[in-house]
Amino acid sequence: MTTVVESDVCIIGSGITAALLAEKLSEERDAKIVVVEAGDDVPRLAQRSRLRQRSIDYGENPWPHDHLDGYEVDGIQSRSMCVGGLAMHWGGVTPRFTPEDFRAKSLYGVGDDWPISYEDLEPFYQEAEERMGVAGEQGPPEADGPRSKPYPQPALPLTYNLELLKPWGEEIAPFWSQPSAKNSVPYRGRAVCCRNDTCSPICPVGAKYSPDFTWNALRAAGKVELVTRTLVRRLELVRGADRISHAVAVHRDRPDEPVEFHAKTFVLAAGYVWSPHLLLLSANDRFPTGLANRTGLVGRYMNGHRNVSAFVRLPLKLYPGMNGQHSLMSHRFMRPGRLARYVRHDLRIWESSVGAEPRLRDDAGRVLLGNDLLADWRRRTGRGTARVRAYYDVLPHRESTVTLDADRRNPWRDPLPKITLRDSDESAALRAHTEETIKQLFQRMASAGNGELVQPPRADNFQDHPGGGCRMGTDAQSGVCDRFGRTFDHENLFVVGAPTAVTGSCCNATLTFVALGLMAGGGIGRDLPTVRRAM
Amino acid sequence: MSALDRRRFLKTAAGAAAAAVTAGGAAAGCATETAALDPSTMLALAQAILPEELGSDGIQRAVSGFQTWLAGYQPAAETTHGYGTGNLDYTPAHPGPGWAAQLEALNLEADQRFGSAFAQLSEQRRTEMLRRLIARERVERLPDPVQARHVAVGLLAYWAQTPEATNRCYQAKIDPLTCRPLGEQTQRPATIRGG
Repeated sequence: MTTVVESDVCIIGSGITAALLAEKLSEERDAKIVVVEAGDDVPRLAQRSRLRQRSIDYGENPWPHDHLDGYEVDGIQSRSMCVGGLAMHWGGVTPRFTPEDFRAKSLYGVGDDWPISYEDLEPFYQEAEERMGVAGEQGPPEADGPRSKPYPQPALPLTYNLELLKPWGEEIAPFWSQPSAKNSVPYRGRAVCCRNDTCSPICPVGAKYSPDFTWNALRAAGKVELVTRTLVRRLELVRGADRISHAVAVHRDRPDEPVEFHAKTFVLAAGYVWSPHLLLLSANDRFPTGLANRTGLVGRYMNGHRNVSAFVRLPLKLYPGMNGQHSLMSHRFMRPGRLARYVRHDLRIWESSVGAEPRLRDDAGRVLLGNDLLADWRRRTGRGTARVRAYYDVLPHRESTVTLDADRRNPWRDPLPKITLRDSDESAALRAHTEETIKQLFQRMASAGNGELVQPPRADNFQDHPGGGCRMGTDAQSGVCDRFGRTFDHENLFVVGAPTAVTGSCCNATLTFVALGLMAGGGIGRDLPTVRRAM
Repeated sequence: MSALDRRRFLKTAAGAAAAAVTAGGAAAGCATETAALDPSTMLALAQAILPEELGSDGIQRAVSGFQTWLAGYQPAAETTHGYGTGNLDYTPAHPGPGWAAQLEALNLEADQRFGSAFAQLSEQRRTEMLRRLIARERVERLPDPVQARHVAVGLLAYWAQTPEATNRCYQAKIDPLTCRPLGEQTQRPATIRGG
């Protein structure tokens, strides 16, 4: 017998965008909200110190059962599938994109402009920062995007190490404390950061924002129903129409008992892979290549950013281990002004112990034991090491895709996604120039500090903070959905967060994904009654 | 083998072999029972390879911590999976049985060459024996303790990653990976005198 769950709004996925969107909708709209999550609940806060310690001691996953078996996907895809999604592991780093990201075509003649401007998104950046509790400070205007209000929390203080490194970095560009969703003061019932320095993968005290806090609060207040261990396999249309009728799902413990989620509005918040994947899986006679895919854009323009990194030895006495996940940040090179050739990147500086670790052999290959080992270690800490890294903008090709993998299926025999990231032609042509420009910058930084590179800078092939697959556009020819995430093909189907991003910018993108989701909240909530407030 | 309990050695060595054989069983969720490493031999080993300035208390603390760490080890536990990869991985087989056999081998060698247990040898002889064994390890950097092929490297690797070792090296109270006030991170870590 089929179980039917009815609601006003059915949100598919429970990651960070879903959590904060659900919170917003529950505050503003009088609506029954049901959230469907394929994974499990995560361990409670009280358990996290123990799980963290085992992660440190033995390398164990501090989030047991945070994924589904049988989901070995081809391409860049993180494994987390649980309540809170990948943001249970995240480092809590929350820069905004800069205005240039939204106008790359207009300003630099590359890529595409977004259908929204930085100014359109700014209020939702602020809202996202306030909901998460971001600690930060505004950088100088030539190097940081504008903001209308102060950060909700004071910036995390720089460590002694970062205070020493800041004047060195500022030989090149202005730097400031990296904005973070980590509490510098108590915030919404969560504790202050106490430098456990394992933000990623796990904060043991709850100082770092993670979506489980929101879900726990919403569930405790009866504002949402969160259904776990239930995988949505396809979306079905109302007979003879383009509206979504219901989601067909399978409960992992009762696979023989079908579950259907019926709702007035469906919100796809399943991240950059699973959102387009579900649309492709939901192909039918009316939409033979997948829902919301009349113009063939679902699963295209997958984006992200690559990085170049280096370690610089400097004549500074540093004490690595004070708070290694905190960094200095600059967006100076995200706001480059006029450019002969397009290169945009962020820049961050961390303390590091690279080059000054304890070792078993000296440079001559002699075994070091006891006093010799300690003396060698101590000698090599006389100079400090800084880690520097720049994410650079990679513009996506139309053929940068998520498709259905013909060779791999999940345990329910549905095709798994296949992720094939590809640079646009212009980005591919710029790649060597971009990476060389950043390497030269690192060399200049080393020279400016009378230091040297520990080893040649490394350009990573990995694309971080991926998004896209359901990019927003001004119409169906340019996007899968509008600025509010409403799909052009289905009036009651929205896509939110990472999949809607047009480009991946060149800094951590989670805050932007959430801001996009909150902006979408306006469109999603438009047809729902407002909450009646007690007089 | 006058000063050595041969039967104990053989029993441990057999246990090590059995553990290696049953590593697949551990992966299937079976618990692996391992005895603690012989305390007196471990202490003698630690005295030979850890820095003198740890003092007897510091060396004993390192050995106790290592034994506790080893006792808590779970083979075939899922390891942290990073961003962007669909691959899962699991902790390797329990290193304890192999390491216990190495301690027994140290005793066996000490007995054959010098007529006494390893712990009764001078520190210089113990260090020489261990230096020769460690020289076989073709690594420059200290590995994760569980990846150490020899128990002596395992102990060194374990100690070197403790906050105490970092503090001692820098002669400063850095206390990495421990909960401490955020506001204090702006200050240079306090100097540790005599350390």
